[in-house]
Amino acid sequence: MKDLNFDIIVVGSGVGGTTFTDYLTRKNPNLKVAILESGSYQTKEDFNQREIDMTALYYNRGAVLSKNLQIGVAAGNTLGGSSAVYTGVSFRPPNSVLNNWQKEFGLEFLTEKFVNRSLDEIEREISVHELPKSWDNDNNIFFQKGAKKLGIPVKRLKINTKDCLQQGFCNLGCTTGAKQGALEVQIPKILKKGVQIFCNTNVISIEENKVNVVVTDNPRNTNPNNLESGTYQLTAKKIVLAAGVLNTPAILLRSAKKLGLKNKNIGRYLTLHPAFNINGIHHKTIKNYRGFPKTVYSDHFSDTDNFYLETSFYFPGVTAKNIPGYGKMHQEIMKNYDKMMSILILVHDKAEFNNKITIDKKGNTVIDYSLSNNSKKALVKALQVATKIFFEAGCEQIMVPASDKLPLTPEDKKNIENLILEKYLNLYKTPLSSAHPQGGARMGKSAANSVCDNYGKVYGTKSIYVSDASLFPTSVKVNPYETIMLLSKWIAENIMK
Amino acid sequence: MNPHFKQNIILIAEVIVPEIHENDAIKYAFIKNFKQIYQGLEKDSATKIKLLVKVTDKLSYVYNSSSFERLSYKKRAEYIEKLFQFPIGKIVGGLTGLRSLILISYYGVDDVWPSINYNGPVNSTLK
Ligand SMILES: Cc1cc2nc3c(=O)[nH]c(=O)nc-3n(C[C@H](O)[C@H](O)[C@H](O)COP(=O)(O)OP(=O)(O)OC[C@H]3O[C@@H](n4cnc5c(N)ncnc54)[C@H](O)[C@@H]3O)c2cc1C
Repeated sequence: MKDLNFDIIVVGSGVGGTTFTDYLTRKNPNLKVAILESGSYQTKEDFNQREIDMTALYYNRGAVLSKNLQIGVAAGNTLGGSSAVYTGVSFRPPNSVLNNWQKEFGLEFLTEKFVNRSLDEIEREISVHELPKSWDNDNNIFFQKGAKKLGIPVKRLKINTKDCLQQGFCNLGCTTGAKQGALEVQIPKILKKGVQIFCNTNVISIEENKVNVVVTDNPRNTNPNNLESGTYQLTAKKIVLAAGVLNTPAILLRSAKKLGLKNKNIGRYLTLHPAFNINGIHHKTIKNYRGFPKTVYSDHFSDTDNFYLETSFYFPGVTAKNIPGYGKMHQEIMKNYDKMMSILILVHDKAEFNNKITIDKKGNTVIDYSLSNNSKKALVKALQVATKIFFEAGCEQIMVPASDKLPLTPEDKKNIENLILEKYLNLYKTPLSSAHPQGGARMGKSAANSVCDNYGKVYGTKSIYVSDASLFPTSVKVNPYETIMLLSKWIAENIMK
Repeated sequence: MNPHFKQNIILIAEVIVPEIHENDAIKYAFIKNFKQIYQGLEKDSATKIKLLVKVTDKLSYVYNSSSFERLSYKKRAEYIEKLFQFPIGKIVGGLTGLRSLILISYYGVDDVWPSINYNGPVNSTLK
């Protein structure tokens, strides 16, 4: 039997958990640290860019639905967590958000000096850079052309890749390791430092200094476990929950009784960054499925209408899912896959008490989320703007939800505001999705509106911390990866003090 | 997947993607992909899909005075359209979720790719 006592146990091997571990072990190389990961041990050699196989990297094969069945949430359930399947778009948290977190939530450590110095270092380590214009594929070129005609300013995205071969489908796992996620950056580093990683190890509940887990057999074609299947109790001086937004709050809720936690904020203030991926058919063949999928974005409507637009492109099945309708017409539309442009709409949703992660009777995660009227408005406006961009870019057919007509064609150009309307938005029928869940164990100076203190420690506990996207007090409004790293670094640098 | 469930999934899928109705080889490859995804689903989701398929079958007696399996292709398509307009949101939401799994399974078939002009994945490390 292995010795299952550790100084620190980290639950979850996503960017939150591994960044924490990386920074922790820089200053404390002699600590005995374990990471427990419920997903299996798979790395670039196991990825194949095939959609059906690679759905296995996601929770519930990519099909986690909210309780009301109105929004699907994608999150990685594999070594590296969502960083194994994310795109690599790298944003610094906007100053307005950081100021709000400082003022409203008392996160005083987020000074300009700390943030800039930390993110300079983080960006260096994960190779964040702007992609050269020569990398723009047709989708990105046409997006810029359409936006320019409409007077919408476009900016270049920063990405964290190294020697990327532009295979196209980052969200099916990077087969060459070009994407500088946890699998390529943090995990190799911490393994070298002696950190132990236990995969297929599901944390059921925690107590002060104790972690209760079930280890299951490794799935076929994945690397073997280093613990035999069974039930274990591991012990540690400190426990760091980094199980992601879908699970960190759920673990706390499952453990609340034993921990004596009564904080009503656990699981609350969930934000999802609701998204639509929409497509238009260009008059030219553009083979958008090759090349880096996204190089540009527009934040022009961020302050006024609460959304971002980014370029994007997806594999055939997910593209088909994103196109409304079914039957013969849908099949005919899909025949133009090699002419499709694609735009990702990301809406800034407000952190609301009633949007939450809860658990069902069996202790499983339930996403209890309703789209607010403001978010609906933002989605509709974004659909209208994106449709105009498609037309100006040269698209001949446009397929969007909340539209009275499918597909929209150039004669509809002048009538977009009357054809795309909130009254046509049937959330039970539209492929609304989220890949950026945030909150549920928010960080703040007071337990009255938060779950964790300024150092990530869960209020009312002695040994339990959080280090992942569930710490966000509100939506960070941009793709969250760098902000997760920033908070995890802070927690790691202070946990032993 | 039990044979009855599998059969009903195919019957729904044929309406979502008519090519599945018209091409036996594609139908076979589709159901293989669907099975791969379905078997990887969490128990709760798999149960909900089973329930939805059961409800589809049961409601067919109400709307069509016949089991779902016995409907002609045309009637089946009309009936599925009716379900997509059903007043209970969760039925529509469930059907939309099932539609997604069907589309992902169908467009994951290698032999479908030429019809959408997709050349297949670029991949240097296929096992
Ligand atoms: C398809 C996709 C594309 C994205 N693209 C971008 C992008 O371009 N830029 C960007 O900034 N962000 C992007 N994101 C979001 C970003 O990847 C995530 O916000 C981030 O990786 C989350 O990190 P995390 O550590 O908080 O959680 P996660 O990555 O979810 O890690 C949690 C880990 O904990 C494990 N776990 C959960 N429960 C348990 C348990 N009970 N026991 C043990 N282990 C458990 C999980 O398996 C997982 O590995 C994308 C996300 C997705 C899904």
